[in-house]
Amino acid sequence: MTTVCHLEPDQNAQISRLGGPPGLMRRLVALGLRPGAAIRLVRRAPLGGAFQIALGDSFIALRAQEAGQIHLELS
Amino acid sequence: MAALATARAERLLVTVGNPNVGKTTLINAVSGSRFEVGNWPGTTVDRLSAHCKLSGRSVEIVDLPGSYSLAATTPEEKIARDELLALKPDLVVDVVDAGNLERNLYLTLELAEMGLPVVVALNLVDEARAKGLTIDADLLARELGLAVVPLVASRGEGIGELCEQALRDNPAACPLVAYQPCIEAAVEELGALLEGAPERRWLALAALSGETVRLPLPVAERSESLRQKLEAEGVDPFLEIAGQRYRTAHELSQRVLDRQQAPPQLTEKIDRWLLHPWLGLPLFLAGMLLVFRFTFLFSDPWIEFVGAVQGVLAGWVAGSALPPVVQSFLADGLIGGVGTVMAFAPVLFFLYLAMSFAESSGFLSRAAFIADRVMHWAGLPGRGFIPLMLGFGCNVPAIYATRTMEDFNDRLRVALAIPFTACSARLAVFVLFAAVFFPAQATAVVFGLYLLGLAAGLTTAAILGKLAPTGHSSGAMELPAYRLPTLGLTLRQAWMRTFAFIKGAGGSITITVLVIWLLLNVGGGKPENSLYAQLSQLLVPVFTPLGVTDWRLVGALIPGFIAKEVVIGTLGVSYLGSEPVAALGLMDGLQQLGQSFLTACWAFLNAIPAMFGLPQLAPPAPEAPDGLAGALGTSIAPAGAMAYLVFLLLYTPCVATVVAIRQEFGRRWASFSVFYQLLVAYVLGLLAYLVWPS
Amino acid sequence: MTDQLLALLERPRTTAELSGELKTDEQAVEGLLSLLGARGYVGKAYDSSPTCGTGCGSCSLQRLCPAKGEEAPFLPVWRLTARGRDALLKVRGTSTEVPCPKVQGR
Ligand SMILES: Nc1nc2c(ncn2[C@@H]2O[C@H](COP(=O)(O)OP(=O)(O)O)[C@@H](O)[C@H]2O)c(=O)[nH]1
Ligand SMILES: [Mg+2]
Repeated sequence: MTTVCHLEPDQNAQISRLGGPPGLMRRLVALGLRPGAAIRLVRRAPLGGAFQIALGDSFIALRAQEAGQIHLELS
Repeated sequence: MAALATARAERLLVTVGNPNVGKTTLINAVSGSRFEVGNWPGTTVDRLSAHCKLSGRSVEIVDLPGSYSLAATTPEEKIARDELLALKPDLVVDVVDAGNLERNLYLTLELAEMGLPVVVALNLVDEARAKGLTIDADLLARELGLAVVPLVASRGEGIGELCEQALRDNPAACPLVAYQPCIEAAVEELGALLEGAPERRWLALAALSGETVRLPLPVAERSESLRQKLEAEGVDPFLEIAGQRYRTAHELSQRVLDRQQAPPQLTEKIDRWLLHPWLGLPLFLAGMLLVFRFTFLFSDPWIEFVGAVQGVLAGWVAGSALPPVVQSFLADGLIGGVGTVMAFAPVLFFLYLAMSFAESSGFLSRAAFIADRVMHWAGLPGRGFIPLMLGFGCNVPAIYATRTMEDFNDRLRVALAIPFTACSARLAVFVLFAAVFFPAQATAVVFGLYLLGLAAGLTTAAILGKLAPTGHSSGAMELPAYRLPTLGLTLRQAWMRTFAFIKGAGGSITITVLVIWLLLNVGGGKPENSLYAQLSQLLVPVFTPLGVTDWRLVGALIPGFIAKEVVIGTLGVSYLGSEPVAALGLMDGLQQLGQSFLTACWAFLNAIPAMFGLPQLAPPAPEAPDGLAGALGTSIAPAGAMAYLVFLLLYTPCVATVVAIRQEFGRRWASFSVFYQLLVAYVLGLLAYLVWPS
Repeated sequence: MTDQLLALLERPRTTAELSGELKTDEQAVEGLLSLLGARGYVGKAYDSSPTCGTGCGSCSLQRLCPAKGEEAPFLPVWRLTARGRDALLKVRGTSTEVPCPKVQGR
């Protein structure tokens, strides 16, 4: 089990579990990041502070500590 | 009852549609606001109807309650369904939200099954376009076999064509949804029993779905047995029918909808550059510079024009037979006050234009992504960076731009930080002082002041964040696909925001200017004797620790509250005396107006090629009155001048900014901002005086 | 479309999730859900009790569930009612035994 933080650019994965405080989870689920969803890491932002992932046809930006709360199964 | 009393109109129209799609607005536009409001019999649901003449024919329009479907799951839907069946209208106007086509089409498909003549009023086209959706209305009309009229009901667009359609004898709509064979067979059997009723297909489907509809007993019994038979076969007719309608609506909307966005591949390609680990930030900063350049180049001619109009009006006043005090009140007070407000309008308009574009094209979200890291140490989300940067152009739109942030506390913190950033008006003053006192290091001094302002703002935000920890400032956000916003919509959005500022803040700003006029003019003819001079002299001891001992310098800070660049003009008047305004004749004035308008237009056109010339951060500093530089040099020492500049940078936001804060966050925070900044300005000014080598 | 929707609701989901799975408009899904809700096939997860009536093991949102101490549901989470479950089973032509939902994916 890894998190979005450990993905390499262009690597695909499936969300297995969300962690973190409820407020963050709400936000993530509202953006469509829910267990079972397939995602791909697009890039890390300058200085490794943020992550851009692709979910279906849309792109989502995340901070490092948020990315660390999205647990994945590699596919 | 009223409807029964009057003779039935030649044509009866009903409007149907989901709630809030603009049915009432549409009836209002068609009937010219002549509608009656009552209740549907035995309910508290509003009944709205209108009688009007269209091309000489009398027409009655009845607005049916908002409904998502005709399955009558709410009292409103029940009324809508029963009235549709009972009224037998000559035409059903199905009002559809163009921005939400799929859900709205469900009702359209049901209406088509009722066998009524239907025309589709495709409303809210403007909002759909703003979402980047275009609908092929012709294709939709062909697919549905119905007339489709695109509309913006709130602005009356398309109403003419709708009225034409309303008078045409449209044929009954044909059903569009094909169900499973077993359902179709049942519908046919029931339909045969209902021979003659145009709505028989809809009735049969409703009965099979298990809805309560009024049917002749044998038909009701037959439908119940058919329903049970289907269920025994493992088919739930309700689910089948609803599902098939939704599928049809989905497929239809997919065919006629064009999402005007860059395909994901293109979006990714652009992002490869804009979100590049190293190039991203420089590109983003260059973009910000371009926004400022655009704003100043295009707004400057119009600001000058406002000034020219003010000059002409003042000249006319000077040429009138009014007593001098009244002349001064009109020219400096009233015209000056309104002119101050109007001079803000061009800057705001062009800055808003750039912002609207950035917002709806998708660039704004990228900028937030890039800046997130930088903002993080102040405990702020990346979205706060843009309002802060905008503050360097003008604080006022920057305050309003905080609206793009979600969390109230975050918004407030950014808004309180913004007035510390050195707007372009302050730049003019800095340039003048730097040239007089620090000719060798002028650029460094100005740049240092910029940094000081930004640091003071960010520190404020960080401290407030520590005092009142926000929930959890989240950086997670969608990066929408790029798209090209429509010009008309962007222009209108920018204009509406500018207008809102003029309407909301214009009064307060004008009053402030009038109060300051009063200060300057009460108490004798000479400036030295005015209330203003006396007040300034009272304040001198307060500023003495900062090395500022000349009452004229202290006093200039008071009108600086109107707009920071006013400080220069005030200093000019109090050091050098004011020149009397030359009287202007009517014709001369008109000629001057015409000329300055042409000049403004010409300068505006010239701004287009200038956009691509050499970069320039702000407009050139206004020419200081001759001799002011020399007079200033003798009235204060460099250390005092430094303290004065620091104070000027940080003290009370200008009145327009204060009004903006009040509008967005309330009176309490506006006052807090005023006093807090005075304090910070004083303390840092004092520090500057003590630290600066004299 | 309804079959798919009911099948998806075997585990409680938000409209955003459903529209993502069905590749359709969120508003349209809401419309369909309210239609199905009015006929008693589906319901909001926490309307009648703090629990949603499914095995928590399968739920993607259990950390947000009132049954686990979270105060209020944040987004409407939809679930199947008994009637919806019956309808789903009928459509699938399987037995009336309520299958215990599997714990997470394979
Ligand atoms: N932008 C835009 N707004 C509209 C349009 N038509 C109506 N509106 C607004 O939509 C809101 C709801 O309209 P209303 O007529 O009350 O909808 P009803 O519930 O269907 O009667 C009002 O605020 C209207 O001003 C349109 O074409 N464009
Ligand atoms: Mg209405």
